Amino acid sequence: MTAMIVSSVIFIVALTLIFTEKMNRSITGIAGAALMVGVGTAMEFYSQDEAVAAIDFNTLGLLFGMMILVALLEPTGFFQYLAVWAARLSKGQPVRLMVLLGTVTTILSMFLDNVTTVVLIAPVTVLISEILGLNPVPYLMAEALLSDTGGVATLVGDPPNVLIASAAGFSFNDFLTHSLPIVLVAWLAALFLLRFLFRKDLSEIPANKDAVLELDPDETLHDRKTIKRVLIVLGVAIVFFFIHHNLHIQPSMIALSAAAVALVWVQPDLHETLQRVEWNVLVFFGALFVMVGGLEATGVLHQLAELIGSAGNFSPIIFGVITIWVVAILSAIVDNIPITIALIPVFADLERAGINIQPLWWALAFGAGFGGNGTIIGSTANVFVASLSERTKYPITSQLWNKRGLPVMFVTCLIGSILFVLAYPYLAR
Amino acid sequence: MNVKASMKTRVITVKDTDDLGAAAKKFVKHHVGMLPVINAEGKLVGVLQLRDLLNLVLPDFTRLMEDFDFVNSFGAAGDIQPSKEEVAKKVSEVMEPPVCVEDKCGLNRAFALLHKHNLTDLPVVDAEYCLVGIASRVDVGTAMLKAWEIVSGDQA
Repeated sequence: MTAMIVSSVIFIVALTLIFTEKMNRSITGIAGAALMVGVGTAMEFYSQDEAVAAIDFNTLGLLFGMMILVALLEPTGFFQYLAVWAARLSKGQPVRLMVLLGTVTTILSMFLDNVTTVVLIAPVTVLISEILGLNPVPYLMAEALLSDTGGVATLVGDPPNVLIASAAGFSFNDFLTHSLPIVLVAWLAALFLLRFLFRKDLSEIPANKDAVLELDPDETLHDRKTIKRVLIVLGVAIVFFFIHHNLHIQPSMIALSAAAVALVWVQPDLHETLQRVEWNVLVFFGALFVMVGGLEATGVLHQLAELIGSAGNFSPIIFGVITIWVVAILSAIVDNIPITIALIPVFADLERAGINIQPLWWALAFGAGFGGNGTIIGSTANVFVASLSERTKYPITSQLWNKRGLPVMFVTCLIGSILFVLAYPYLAR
Repeated sequence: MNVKASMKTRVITVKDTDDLGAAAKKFVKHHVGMLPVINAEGKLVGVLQLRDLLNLVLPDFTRLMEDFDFVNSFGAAGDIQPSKEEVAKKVSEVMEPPVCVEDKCGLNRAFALLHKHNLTDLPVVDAEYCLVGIASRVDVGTAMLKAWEIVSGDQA
């Protein structure tokens, strides 16, 4: 009992530090993990071996492999090329510009890390808005919100999906057949909602429409050879993702092999490439696995699962809808990664108790993904565009985010819930 | 040789309490790239660079992007006027902390500092931190070249 309390306190204090931003989330993670293992060893509820075993190397491998591919693509100007191309295609019309930039960012972030995508597209967005004479806020927010929403559609689009796929054994295609159709509807709804919420800004007439036509996408490209090579490797990797289940290989194996092939082919300055890898994300994941492993070892998560199992006889459909909303709210205010990592063992426990949790995994994915839209700190992409905007004439405040992002979270969760209920028999298979 | 011998002693300065509009007029009138900022006691408290003022009208993306060579036209961002609030700001709000040397500083050290901090002019102060002169990159650099045997030998 003492062990349960101690491990819960460590985890809750860590979550609070992350939520209140008193300390960097990765530093909090490392400290919490070290404390969990230290106290666990001293009180004999959690051993070092168990801590290592708690780390899901599938997740870390997949994230690391994809990060290397993005890191190789980052300095080539490829992302700028796509943004400039979208701007030209829009002919400087605000609504078209929002749709095109939002679509480009979403498609990229379905296959690549969405934070990197937003990090690279957002500065070009400021550029495009400025030369047109428009306020960049609607475009920046649309990019963050739409890429967060769209990322839920694929296994590699969103870190919680990677975790869920690894725990539930979902394949890349499972996401395309189960998540993609629902996310597509939610994404379109988010787009129309943004069009409505920003109707005033989007009716602005650009001061200088022709300026975007003078931009030449070709001039943004620095290294066509690398782009070609990385895109070929990425394309082959995606083909392998489609068939990984039949080949009985893990997605992490594909991502790491793709990274290896790309590195051998491109032979970059490795120091520079590794600097572009988001180590703090990987460290945060590793630390959370170790911390949550401690919670599992003391039986806290088992208790939580029993509590959920005995909390009235919810129909599984209602339970799924509740999962979407509770996870969404927690993801909006804390961070969807610790929430997902902590809930996975709980769900696994429910499965052992004989509950069909197949649909719940999807509910978890929708909640974790759509919930991040709600607040300025709900996702890393949100945090990034907001801090970028602070360096421009149009800072995005958290009040503004609540006015524009919270409705997007509400609508995407609502559509997710409705479609979850309608598609329940299908999702439950 | 020290920096005192190569510096200019007539220095155009601006007070920390002046506003940016007044500073802008001084830059234009005297055609200079940097103004040392002094307080009421004549002590050096900062420097105001041309770029500190021009940053007010440069588009935001020039600070956010590593590379914008491909932007052939700045469009609507090509002709920005600073706002009234911005030009009413005090010099002390936008000035940079001063990189300066004492008058007895050697030329080598002065040039290395100019190079390291990517400056064109170096304020020179006395032991009490009062401004006594200003030495440009060219002032310091040519004074150093003068000491080269190949240069001084030719003159002889």
